[in-house]
Amino acid sequence: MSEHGDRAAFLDRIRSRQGRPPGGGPHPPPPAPDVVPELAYRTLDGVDHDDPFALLPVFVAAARAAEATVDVVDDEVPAELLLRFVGDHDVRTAVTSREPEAVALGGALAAAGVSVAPYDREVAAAADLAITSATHGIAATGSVVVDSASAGSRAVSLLAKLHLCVLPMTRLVASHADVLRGQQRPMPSGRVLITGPSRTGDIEQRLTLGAHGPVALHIVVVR
Amino acid sequence: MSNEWPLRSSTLRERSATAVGDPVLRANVGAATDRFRTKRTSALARLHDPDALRSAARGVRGDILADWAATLELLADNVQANGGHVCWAPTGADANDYIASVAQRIGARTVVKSKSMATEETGLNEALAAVGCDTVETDLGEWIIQLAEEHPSHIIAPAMHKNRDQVADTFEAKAGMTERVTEPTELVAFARRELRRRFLEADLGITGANLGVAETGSIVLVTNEGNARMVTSMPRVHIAVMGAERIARTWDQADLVLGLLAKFGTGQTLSSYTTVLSGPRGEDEADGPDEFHLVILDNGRSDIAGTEFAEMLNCIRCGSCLNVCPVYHQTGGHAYGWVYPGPMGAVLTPLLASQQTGHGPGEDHHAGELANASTLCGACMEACPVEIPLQDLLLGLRRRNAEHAGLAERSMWRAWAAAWSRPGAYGASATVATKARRLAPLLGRLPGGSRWTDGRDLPDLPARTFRQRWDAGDV
Repeated sequence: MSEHGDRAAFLDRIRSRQGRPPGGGPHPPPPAPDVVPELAYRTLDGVDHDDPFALLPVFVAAARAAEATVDVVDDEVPAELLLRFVGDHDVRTAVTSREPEAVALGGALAAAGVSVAPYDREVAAAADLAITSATHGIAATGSVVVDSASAGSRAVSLLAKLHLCVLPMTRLVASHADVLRGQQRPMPSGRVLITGPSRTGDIEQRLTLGAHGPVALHIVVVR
Repeated sequence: MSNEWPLRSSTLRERSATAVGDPVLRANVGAATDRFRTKRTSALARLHDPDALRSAARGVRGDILADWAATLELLADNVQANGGHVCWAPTGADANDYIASVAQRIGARTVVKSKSMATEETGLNEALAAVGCDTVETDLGEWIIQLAEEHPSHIIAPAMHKNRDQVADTFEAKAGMTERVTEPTELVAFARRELRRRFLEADLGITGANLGVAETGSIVLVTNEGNARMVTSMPRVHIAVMGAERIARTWDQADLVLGLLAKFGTGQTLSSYTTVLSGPRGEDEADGPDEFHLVILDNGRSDIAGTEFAEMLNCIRCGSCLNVCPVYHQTGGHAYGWVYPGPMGAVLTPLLASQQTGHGPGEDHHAGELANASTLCGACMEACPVEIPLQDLLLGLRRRNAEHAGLAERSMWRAWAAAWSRPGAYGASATVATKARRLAPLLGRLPGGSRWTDGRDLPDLPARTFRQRWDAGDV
């Protein structure tokens, strides 16, 4: 932790341009905060924001609109779903985050003959699949939130060709406001709201999935 | 201001003529901006009352910057409390020097960068090359531009002026593509392979910052490709370069701004990755940088505060105003000559240029003429997520230009105003004009005259003026 350059001069220049006296003192209290409105999504009309069962269809539709694929399962991830996924995507190698849901699913994949390892960047960079859990699912935007403090890594959800994310349904919230607002220190070093797979439109505006991150995002919501 | 940009070495007219004369560029830019516009409209249709949100966002940005210095101070303290380092950079050179010194200290050879307009502004890549670093842009569009040795033409889609064949040409000539492919998916796959290698070997990662959030000392990065996530999790040092005005005090404010950014920028509900970073790697985390540095860049921004142009500081760099501008639609970004194109660039470039030339904001002639690259149709104001009155600011810049115009030009306009405010002189000039109408074809042969007549049809002036016909009782 260090500071370079002249903080006082930098800030006094701003203050003088704004017609304020130099020197601000230590953090003067902020002006009384006006209420900052939240974005009101039409898809949430009439939906009880506290009821995960009501949020679920909104989440599934939004995630699919963002090019993710979604399965909703009742209790634990059924073996036939896993086998189908492994077969469809020709998955031979996988890494997992340290989250219990991800580790459990990794165990099931290993039983199905996939080579599964805990996250390591070199292994992950060559892997077919990465498995993580999510701290939240955001209904309005179809996003999953992955946290470096719980996953144990920033890039576990990024490096492999495919990302499989396990989302317990009780972690559904209505909007990004429910995740972003009210955050306080200490923060996880990295937190990412993931909305669909990695993509680019940089060549002729043609949507191409899998620019640098996963080509596909598969979300399994566990009821 | 980087010397390689054409702003100071050419005129707006010359740059526009080049752009408008390139049919590929015009077709690509036109199609891309149309598409962005359509997507924005459908993204906003998912919201109740987007106009009320724009007004709220304008208020929020205004509140934040009313408390600018104190908010920066809180941000800087919290970044350090999170274990990060802070650099206050009054100028682009200060920012470059600091970053180069970090690169030298850690012995960085490969530097990976995620798209950052602030570092385009400071000319960082040249500064890093000077200390022996191999700097690789990793946003696909930005990488294409870097390989082609061109400049970005759009702030969120830097290579939108190129088509797939031109991209393939660039990859063949500059990136060692041996088997030519032209399908966008195959071109993207090629870039993914090449850049993946660079991410893993890089020592230093450099990003911009879409927003710094003071109350937790966090920065937010928004990307679709995931390159910013690579840049901030693979190398052992991460430096974020943030324009000093790109801040929010609270997460309530940040939530509103970020919610609008994706919808106005690319027309997505959210971009693929909205990443919140708070310091270096956490204890017992398997990746992430050992060091995090936040460079807070002024570079002319503070000079805009307290002026009639202060609202330009509210800009969140979404690119929405570019996509609706009829001038940008025709010329693309290169005609604007520097980092920031379109209506926001036509305002911001003259304001920032003052820092480099010692002129007052908007008084630099080369940059000041950018304010003329507008039809004043007002579409940019309508498209701005924070309701910046871009049209008013453009007019303000034009007025400043006029006030600082050359003596000859000012005398001419004064004489014109004086003459046409007297009926006798007005009548005489109109008579002369109708008599001279037969000379019109000669106008094109006068020095400079063809510039006027080539693109225009001179109206056919009647033989007699309206007054003459009135006096004769013909009307």
